[in-house]
Amino acid sequence: MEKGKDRKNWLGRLINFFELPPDVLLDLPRLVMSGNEKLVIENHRGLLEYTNETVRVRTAGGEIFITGEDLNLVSIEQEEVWVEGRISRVELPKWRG
Amino acid sequence: MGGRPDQPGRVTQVEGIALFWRQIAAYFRGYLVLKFQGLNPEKIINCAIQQGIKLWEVRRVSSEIIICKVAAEDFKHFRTLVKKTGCRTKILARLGLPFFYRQLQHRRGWLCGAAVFFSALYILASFVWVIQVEGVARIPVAQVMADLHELGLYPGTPRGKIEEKRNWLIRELKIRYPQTAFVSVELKGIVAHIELVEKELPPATQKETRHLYAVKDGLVQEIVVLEGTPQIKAGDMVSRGDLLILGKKVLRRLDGTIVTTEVKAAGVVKARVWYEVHIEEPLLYWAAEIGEGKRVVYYLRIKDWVFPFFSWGRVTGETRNLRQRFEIYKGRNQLGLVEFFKDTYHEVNWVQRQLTTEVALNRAREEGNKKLLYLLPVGVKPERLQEEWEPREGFLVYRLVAETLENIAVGSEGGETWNFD
Repeated sequence: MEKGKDRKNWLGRLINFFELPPDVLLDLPRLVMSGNEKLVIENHRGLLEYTNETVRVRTAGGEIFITGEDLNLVSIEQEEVWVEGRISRVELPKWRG
Repeated sequence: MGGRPDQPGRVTQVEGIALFWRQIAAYFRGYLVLKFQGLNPEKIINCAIQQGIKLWEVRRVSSEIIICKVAAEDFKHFRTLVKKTGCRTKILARLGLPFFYRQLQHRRGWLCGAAVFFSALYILASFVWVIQVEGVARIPVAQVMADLHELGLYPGTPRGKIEEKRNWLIRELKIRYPQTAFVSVELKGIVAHIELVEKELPPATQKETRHLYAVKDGLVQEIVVLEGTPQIKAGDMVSRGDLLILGKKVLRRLDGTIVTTEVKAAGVVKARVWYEVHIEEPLLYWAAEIGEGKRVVYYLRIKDWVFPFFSWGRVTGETRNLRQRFEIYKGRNQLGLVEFFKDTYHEVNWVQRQLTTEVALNRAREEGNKKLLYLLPVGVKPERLQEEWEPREGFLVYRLVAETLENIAVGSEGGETWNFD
């Protein structure tokens, strides 16, 4: 575990030094939100829960918890999830890193 | 999604366009509306996306049911997924072009009906069904419609036929309606727009009797009578106001009776006319000579205020002033806000001088020619010029006579004398 953490710190410093995109190299999800209506999550690992009020998405860094009203999955595929509706909260509980 | 744009704002825009094209492609390739029912329908979604299946418009209907859309070609993968996840899958609708085409194959009557309808629409649209005549005020529309019918343009005429002979149609209409200034034939769908723009004709001239009179004294040289009866002959000397052509015409019929009709006299009466100019040019005159006395005054002007601040010299009697300006500052509006004046006053002495006859004659000639230009009618040039002069009591008396050949006939109402419509 310690070894993995050291490697990550070393990689983080390298990424900062060369100004590389961290989301690509560290396998992090990328979230793009337009107002409170659209949210695109790239690089996800699957859908944990979906209701009209809640969407839970698993990623490499942990879980993304979205709450709101009339939430719809406009599109879902291997790389990205597109959520639409009146989004009120985006939480990252139990986030690793 | 074809790369990851660096600007986050662009991401949704790009993906929105991609989603739109994906839906278009799905329509052409066919797609299904699926219902997943089970205790954990998210599981089948995760399994599907892991296999590279794209799902869109995913909606949660109840705690156990999720409805989504999926490409028809991906449905075959769901058989194994259903077994693996334990979810039940049901096709709610088959949409898109392939399914629509399959439906059409089963509804041949409907397909034939649609084909007949569109064919009929296409065929009927290739005819002119409505004719609109525009722009006419004095020409009756019914007459134009009747003429168009005669020329081959009526409801039911093929459009192609009109397109072919459009220019011919316009020319024929122009011939039939010479009172039009502009004719156009335009086809807009099944409507033929015919535009006839009528000429704005000048008001009709009065058909009253008119006589021609002499407008000035002259010796008649030539008479051209277009209408009426001449009252003079070549060689006659006429005075201003004399009747030249009478506005009446006498006709002798074959049975011997004489008929007199009143007409509008028209014609040209050319006569020799003389114009005379008298000039008295003085041989002695007073001239102003600048004397010795001189006074110079300097002023400063700032906007509307003028301040005299320096002067020198002295003058007496009559003076002549010369002003010079020196601009110092123009100001924001370039109006010369600050400037210097230099006024120079010279004494003037009047002395009597004598002109030579040649100089006086040149001056008189110049003035005589100027006066003659005012006397001659526009467009008339003198045929002969004669001049006489003699010095008399301090003056040179100059006389210039110009001879012209011009039309002296004028109608009682004025204007052109040969316009006899």
